[in-house]
Order: sequence, then C-alpha cells, then structure tokens
Amino acid sequence: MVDIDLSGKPYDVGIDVGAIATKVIVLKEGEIVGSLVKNTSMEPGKLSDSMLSEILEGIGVRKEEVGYIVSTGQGRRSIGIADMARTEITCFAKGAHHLVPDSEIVVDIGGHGIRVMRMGEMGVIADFRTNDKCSTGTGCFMDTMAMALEVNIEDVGDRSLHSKMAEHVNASCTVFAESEVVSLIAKGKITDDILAGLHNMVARKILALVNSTRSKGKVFICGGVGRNTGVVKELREIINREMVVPEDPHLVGALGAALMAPRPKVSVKKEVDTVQKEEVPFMKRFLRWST
Amino acid sequence: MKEKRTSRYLKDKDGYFSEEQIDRTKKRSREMEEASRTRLTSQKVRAKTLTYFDEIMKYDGARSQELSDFQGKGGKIIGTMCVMVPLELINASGAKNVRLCSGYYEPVHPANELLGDAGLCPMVKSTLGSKMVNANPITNNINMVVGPATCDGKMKLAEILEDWVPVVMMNIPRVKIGETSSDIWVKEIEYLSRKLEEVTGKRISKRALVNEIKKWNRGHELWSKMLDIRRSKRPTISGQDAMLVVQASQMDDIERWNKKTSQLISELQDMQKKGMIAGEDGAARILLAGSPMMYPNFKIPAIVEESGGTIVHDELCSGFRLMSDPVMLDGITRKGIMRGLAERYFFPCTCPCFSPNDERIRRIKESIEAFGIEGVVFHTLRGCHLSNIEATKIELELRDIGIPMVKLESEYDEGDIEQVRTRVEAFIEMIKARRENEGI
Repeated sequence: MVDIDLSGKPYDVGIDVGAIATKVIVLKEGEIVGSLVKNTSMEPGKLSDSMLSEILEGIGVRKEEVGYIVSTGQGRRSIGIADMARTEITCFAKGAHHLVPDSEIVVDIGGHGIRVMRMGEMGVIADFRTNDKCSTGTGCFMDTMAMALEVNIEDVGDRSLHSKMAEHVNASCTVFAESEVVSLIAKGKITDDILAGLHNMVARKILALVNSTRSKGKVFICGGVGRNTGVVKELREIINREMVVPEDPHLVGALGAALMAPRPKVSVKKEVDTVQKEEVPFMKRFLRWST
Repeated sequence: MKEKRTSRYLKDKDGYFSEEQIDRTKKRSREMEEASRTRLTSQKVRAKTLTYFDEIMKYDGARSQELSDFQGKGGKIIGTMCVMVPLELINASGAKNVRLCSGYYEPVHPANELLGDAGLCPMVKSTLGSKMVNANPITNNINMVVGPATCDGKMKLAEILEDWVPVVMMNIPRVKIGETSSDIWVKEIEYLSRKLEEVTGKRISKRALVNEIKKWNRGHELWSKMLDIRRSKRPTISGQDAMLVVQASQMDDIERWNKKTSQLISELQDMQKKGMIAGEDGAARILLAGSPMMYPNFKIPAIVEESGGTIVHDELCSGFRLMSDPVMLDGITRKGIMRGLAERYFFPCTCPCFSPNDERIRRIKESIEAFGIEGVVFHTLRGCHLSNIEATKIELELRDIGIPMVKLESEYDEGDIEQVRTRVEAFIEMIKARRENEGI
C-alpha cells in the first residue's frame, strides 16, 4: 500500500481487469463520475492506462487530481499504475455492500468465474465459494454458445425472452453443451428456445452455488452475465429469495476497487434507493457515464 | 511371496514405456523438485539446519544413495503407503522405511495410460506412475510395500503395485467404534510383524521393539516442541518448512532425524530470541486441513504463505499427524506392546476413511483455540472423495464458532495456480478485514 498525500486529490480510480472486459471507474466521494468498459487486450496495463486518460479527459479532470488507483480482476497484477491490487472477490463484495448494504449473498458471474460471497457483519465477507475448473455459466460459456447459435452476444438475453417453450440442455460442460446445442440446431429447434434452455441451465448452476452457502438472505447479482436478461429472468424464477440486479452489474467490481482506497472515512450521503423485487433503474449514476 | 506372481494389470510391463517417456518423467520430476526446493530456500527467514532436511527429501539426493548402499549390503527397505503403518515394527525388524506417497506431478501420466481417467486422486496415480517407470530413486528399490486398505484409491493402488513388488495389505476396520475394530487391528499388526520377519529373516525381539518405540517417542516429543514454536506469536519456521521436516522423518533414520530436529529446534529458539519471524509481520494465522500434500507438491502451502498467511498448524496425514501421538505401552508383555502400537496407529488417526470421525472436528477445534487460528484452508485433491465429503461437515461446524474456511480443490499440475492464488488472497484479505472490524 502506498501512502499518498490526498490534498487536492479527491478522485479515486478502480480498474477491474476481467477475463473478457476491462472496466475503469472514477469515483469522487463515493459518487461515480466516470466509467468506461472495453474488451481486455493482451496488454491490460497499457489498455487501462489509456482508458483512464480517456475518462479523465471526458470529465475534465487532471491526472494529478487522482488519489488512489486500485486494480482488481484476473489481471490485477499487470497494472503498473495501480497503487494496490485486491482480489475480485473482495472488490465485488465491497461494491455490492456499498450499493445494497443488506444483501446477504453476492453473486459475481464473470467472464471466467462465478463467485458467491456470503456477507458477514459490516460488509466483510464471511465466506465464499467459486466455480472450480469448470466454466459453465460464465461469460465465456455464453460467448461460445452465442457463437454456435450465430447470435450476437448482446441480443442473447432478450431473444430468449421470446421463447414459448424452452428446450432442455443437460450437458454442463462447455464443450459438451456446445455439441448438444449443435445437435438441437440440426433437429431444427428454434434458436430462442435453445437460448432459453441454456439460460435455465446456467441459472440452475448458479443456484446450486448459491444454495451451498445455506443462507436464505437477499441475493445481489453482479458481473457481466448479470446483464443477460435471460439468465436473470430464469434465476428470478427459481432462486426463491429476494434478488437484486443493479443497472450496470459489470461495473460493481471496479466500483468496489475504487472504494478500497484507504481514505479517511467521510460521512457518505445515505443514498440507498429502496430496492424492490422488480428491476428498477437502480444505479442511475452509472447510466449517465457508461456508454 | 516365494512363488512368482503373474501381473494382473500390466502384462507386458517390460518395454511398455519408451525410453523417452521414462527419461522425460525423471527429468521433469527432478525439475519440479528443484523448483520446490528453490521456493523453500528463497524464504527470507529460514533456519540453516533445514538444509539437512532439504537434502533428505531431494530428488536423487544423498539419502537415495545411502538407501541403495544399505540394500546392497543385504538390508531391506520397506515402502509404507499410509500414516497408519507402525514404523517401529519395521525398524525393529532391522529394515528401513520409506514413505511411498508421491508428490511428483509427472508420473501421473504413465498411471493415466494404464487406468484411463479412473477418477483417482493424483497422489495415488503419481505413486503408481513412479513405480511403473521407476521415476523416483528413493522409492525404486523397495523390498516390500505395506499398504493399509484405507480409501478405495490406496487399496487398489496396493493391489496394482503387487505386479511389481510384494505387498502386505492391512485390513483397516473403517468403522471406528467398539472392541472389535481394535481387536482386528491388533491382529493385523501381528500379521504385519510376521510378514516383516519373513522378509528380513530376523525375529522382531521385544527388546528391539521397545528400543525403537523409545526412539520414535523421542521424535514425537521433539515435534511437540516444534509445535510450541509454531504456536507462539512469532513463529520462526514457516508451515512449508515444518511440513518438510516432519515428512523427512518418514524417509530418514529416526535417530539421526531426532538429532537434527533437536538441533533445528534450538536454532529456531535462538532466532526467536533475536526477534525474527518467518513470513510477514501480522500474517493471517492459517490452519491447513484436508488431503495430504507430499513434498514436492507444496503448491497450496506455498501460495498461502506467499499471499500473506502463515500456516501455524495443520491437520494432515502428511504433516502434524505423522508425529503427534507417541506410543503408550500397555504393559511390558509382547501382547501389551502390540496393543500399544495398535492403539497409537489407529485411534488418533483422523483419516476421513473412518466413520464416525468426529475426532477430526474435535482436533481441529482444539487446535484453532490453541494456535490462535484465524482461518482454515481446506485442501482436497481432485478424486479424494472422502475429504471432499467431510469438507461440508467441517465448514458448517466451523461456521458455528465463527472461523471461516475456504475449500480448494486442486490437482497435480501447475495449471490452476493463479485461480487458487486468487481464492487464497481473497481469503486472507477477508481475514484481515475481519481483524480491522473487530478492532484488533
């Protein structure tokens, strides 16, 4: 950890270098003032550097005004500009606790991993579990399936919502699931139905991890797959708990990272929206900047 | 043992593997052991006496030469496959013991070729593969294997090894209650002692047995001193090194091991007086539990200690359990000695192959209290079903007393190092955050 003179440096930066996308967020006193998402490149250090410059330029902030830069995600150690690196497990939990303090289970469905954190007191993780070597349900799994079905990954969720009767997909291995999908296509099944079946399978997989925490509390969904409306819908149907999905679930990790900056605690405005079961535009401030 | 056995599993074992594969297995094993040793020796604070234990565990080191010289003079070497084999008995028959369980990654492949992916744990496969291609000099030339039938993998491993070397299988009563189980086990130990006498051609005298028991009990005493050092606020030995030391006892002559260990302990105490500490200041105090980790498979402990934790204690049959319970003689008759041996090697063993196995949880809870443990890292080898099942039970029990546990499933390869590291780092970040919350 680097001690930084914070005078005149009100901004903190969180960089989440995920397996698929890199997310950068700029924070001022707990408020998000800028964010950017790009595909992770082979040189995450350079990429995040240029992304940060882009955001700062956009909001008219000089680099000197940035206090702490915290990196997270699988590529967290390759970020040269970062003052400290924290694991994505810690950061997602931090971000989730910031947004919905009473969430008991935080589920991060990322590019290569699913992590389920059970929250303890004061936003500290009590325990967590992750997927093992298996990639089912992660972003790259959905990518592979979308490719097999020749559907744009952005449309996967919405198209599955049109399904009237979901197909059954049983294989949970990415490779086997792909061949099952190919055989369903060969049988002339409707793409939307296959997608719905896949989302159902993914939701069940996530549910199994959530259930293994043996906690019945509120579930907070984040990570890139949280943007997949199909998975979210299926999950909502079977999860049997209160479930919250923020507007921009993929940014939660970067938000948590920026919040990790060891600033002296200022009284943060109580801005927690009342959360309902339905998806309400929840992180409005994200929406403004994340395009 | 006298008649030549026919092979059951590998009929054409001579010439089955190419020279290239055998050489590759040896080369990679050597490289892996070197890498593990470099990782150990590059720790900032490390007692000098530990180089002796490095040498014992070294691939193709002085110890393997010593053993083959011993064998050349007509001595017998007995391979043990489990923590439940009474080593006192082996030593009393004049034979030397070596632990066969292998931590080398590369020999997994020849075993896979024989068995396909049978869902066996990599330790079983590696042990088998080492024998198949004679990859490990220290365990190559054993005269007999003693294999207690604990888990399915170990049991079948013993059976397969019979294609190469005579095996004595010991019937372990896996239901750990009542008089019958300990009666069976005493009989099994008597059977083993007859088999040992057959191999060495030497009668196991009562005097020799008591003598060996004394030597090993001295070892246990020293190990408990070592635990005191690890229990202290500033341990001067890392968990990896401690595991190396205790595993060396399974390869070394116990008398020499005792001498070196007591030397090590006084060095560690001196280091403590100088205010040194192994690992970082304020490291998270971790208890390691689960499946065994044999040197050089120190992947998990190395990651834990590189990520800001210190393993102050463990609950492993490749660690603390090797030296945790001395033999209490039940009288001085031969029968009493045998019963004492049987009890030491049966009841304290908390292998998940037993049921009921509540002793394990009791021990874990006790050590959490005594060693100031802040978190438990539970490691299971892929295919170690028994550990895997018990993990759930242990996690829930620990949740009740507010100790977090992370379960890591891993195999014998380096492919998952970064994933495991992320989990361990998150776990240690979590422990430190808890500390801040509690205002420690």
